[in-house]
Amino acid sequence: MTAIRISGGQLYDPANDVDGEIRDVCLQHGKVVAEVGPEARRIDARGMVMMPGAVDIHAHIAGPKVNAARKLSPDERRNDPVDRTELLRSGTGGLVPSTFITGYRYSLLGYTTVVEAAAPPLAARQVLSELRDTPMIDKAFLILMGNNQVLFELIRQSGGGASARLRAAVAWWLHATGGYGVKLVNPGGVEVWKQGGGNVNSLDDEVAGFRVTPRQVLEAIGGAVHELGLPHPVHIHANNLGVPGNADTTVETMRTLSGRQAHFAHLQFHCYGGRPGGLPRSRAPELLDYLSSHPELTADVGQVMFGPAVTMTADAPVSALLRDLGGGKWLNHDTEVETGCGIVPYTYRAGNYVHALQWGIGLELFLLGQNPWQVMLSTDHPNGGSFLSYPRLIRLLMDRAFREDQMRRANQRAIRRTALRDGLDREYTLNEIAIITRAAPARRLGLRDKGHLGIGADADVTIYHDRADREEMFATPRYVIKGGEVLVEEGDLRRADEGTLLCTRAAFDPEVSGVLKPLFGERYTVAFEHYPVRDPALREPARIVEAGT
Amino acid sequence: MTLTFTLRTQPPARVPVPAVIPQRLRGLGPSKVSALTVRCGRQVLAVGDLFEVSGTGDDQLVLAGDLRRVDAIGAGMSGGRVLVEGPCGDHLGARMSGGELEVRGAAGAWAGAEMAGGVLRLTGDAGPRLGGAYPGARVGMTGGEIIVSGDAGEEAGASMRRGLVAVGGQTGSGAGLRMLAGTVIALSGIGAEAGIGNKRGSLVSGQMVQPPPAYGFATRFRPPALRLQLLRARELGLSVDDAMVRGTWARWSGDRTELGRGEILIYDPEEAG
Repeated sequence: MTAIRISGGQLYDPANDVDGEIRDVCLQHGKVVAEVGPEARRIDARGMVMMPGAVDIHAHIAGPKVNAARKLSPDERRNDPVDRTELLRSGTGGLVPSTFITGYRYSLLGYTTVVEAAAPPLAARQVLSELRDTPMIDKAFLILMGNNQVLFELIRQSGGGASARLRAAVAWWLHATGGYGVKLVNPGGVEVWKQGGGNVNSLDDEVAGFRVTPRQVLEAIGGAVHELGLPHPVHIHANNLGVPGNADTTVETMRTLSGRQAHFAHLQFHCYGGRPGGLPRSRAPELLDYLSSHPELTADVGQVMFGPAVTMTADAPVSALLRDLGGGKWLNHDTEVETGCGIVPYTYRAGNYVHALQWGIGLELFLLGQNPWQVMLSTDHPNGGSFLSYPRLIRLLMDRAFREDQMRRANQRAIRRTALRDGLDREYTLNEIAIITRAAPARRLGLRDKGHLGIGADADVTIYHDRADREEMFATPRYVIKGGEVLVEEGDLRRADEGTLLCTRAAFDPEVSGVLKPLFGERYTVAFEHYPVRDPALREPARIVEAGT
Repeated sequence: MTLTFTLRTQPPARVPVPAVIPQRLRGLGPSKVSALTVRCGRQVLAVGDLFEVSGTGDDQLVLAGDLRRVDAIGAGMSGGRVLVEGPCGDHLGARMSGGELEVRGAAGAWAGAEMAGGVLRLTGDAGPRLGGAYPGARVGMTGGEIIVSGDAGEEAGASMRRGLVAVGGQTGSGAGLRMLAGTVIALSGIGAEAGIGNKRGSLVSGQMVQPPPAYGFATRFRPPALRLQLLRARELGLSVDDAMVRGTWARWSGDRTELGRGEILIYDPEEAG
């Protein structure tokens, strides 16, 4: 492993308050170091921009639903075959690329860490297998706990709040699966859907047969995650996604978690005004106000980008609604005991009122928000658009003229109903881009060695040409370095790297097995003993981030 | 000016040759063309290993030999003329958007699949999914003309949106499956289960067939549009009986489980004249 000195570039390292200063960055043994010897490889970065490797806090890249989406749309991938080379494996691209190509293309964009945001714990083996085959990036996955019947049972037993038993169960599940954090998707609602009863509409609707409410699930699981001190707080896809008027539910969800750390996924889909069944309007400013007075909460935007997308979600009832809108192919799936899943290929059209409004609301969240540390970049890949559209999104944020040009192509009735009509003149700085794509997600994930380039940080660096066209600049980094190795040069992959699995560990009382085992016996088709993933080939090597530190 | 490819020996495995189309070879001499590579299973072969190449590439290519293991001949071509002397493999002329592709022999599966324009002519039989859609795609053929003198396999014209597939012989089962629009003609009869899921397409059978249950009898008439299509098919080399051109056809409307604006036209010789 050679040492590297990157010299003469402008460094954007917001976590260490470095805003565009010309600095040298030295890398050795996979870490950022103060100094390297004269034999170090020199990278001349004069006229270039250096940032930490980018971190995607919310994407869907591995697991059964991603794989099902691949199978559902072979037509979408057929036109984008990727041949094997001496260095690289073959695969297919498109909106949902095959595993290897996912890794390669993220790396080519300057990303070095990606989080799979929703995996059924029962499918941990598949998730781990696919992540093992997703090279170049460090990766982690969040496990779904918002509709788990066993957890419902424990929540009911504890009277709706967090309990030591519930904490132990959450920690056991992370231990059993190799997950990094906890995700709640439409808590309670998916179970109601699976029973054939539609969905929950408010936080106090009871889930039939379990006598728990979404509010209790939020309090209990959110509380357990908070008390365990997991590196990443509870990651929430709130109830009523996409429903006009759902901003009330979202604020209520935030209030319910009051004081506890939480991350809200794809907030754009959760800040609509209007009445259910009617036309939505934007309530993004209100939600941003709430966020700004609650620093314990963060969000990623889930921007929609005009063009084709694939909606894939554990929120099966929402997926069923999307199916009815499109009339094309679709898939809905029950993961026993734990969750559901739906997949619908989808196209966002600039001329469509709702799609243009969603686009506008996403931009409102970015542009009206005062604190970029709280509102991070995502398209909820591939739900709002592929991760390959991030460079275009960055240009929308950094280039007002480009944004206004795009605005003119969108449905004007929708645009007039957003703050964009006032001609928001904010343009993101490179420093702010570094926050929403690196520093903030890494900090929120509790990855202390990532998202910055202070001494001791991981040697994950992306170096860009400083081009006026920000889309082009962010689409083709000049160099991507991960773990101290140059992976990408001049838009070409130069080295294959496996990437590391990131896991968390929280201590728990092993007695919890005695509680869980009978509950498993009653419900799962998998025996309790067989449920945890033990295969070292899947679980190791991994970097463990300890809870509570 | 013609560039001629004569197969030297049977390739060890199937070989797709999508690079062998006029627009890619324009102005290249035999030595340059011979150096182009194609994939054969895990191997990469030079075109010159497979074919003896002579002449110069301009707008006409000729391939000769038993090409049943050679796939994707003329696939993606947008102009010019390709003549194939002998039977060929799968994906013949798939996704072609223009030009003329003529085969003096039979073709495998997926001939003219997702074709957008141009003319594809076969003197022999065609395999399954002639002019069809690839798996997952809702839309198959979007334009162009396919003329087959022999028979066609299963699901000819599946998911077709526009264009003409005219078969002198019979089509296998499931012709026009989930068809959106366009025309599939089988002079010697469309096979069983034709037109299932058909929205606005026309299926034309020169022989009596039983339409699927979701079709209903509408009328007997002399369809002017069909007359033009039959004359066009004849112009492209299909042998069409005058009696059919002038004749009376029974129209069955369907598929009523879908939009129901499609039709199956069945030749009615009793009424001819």
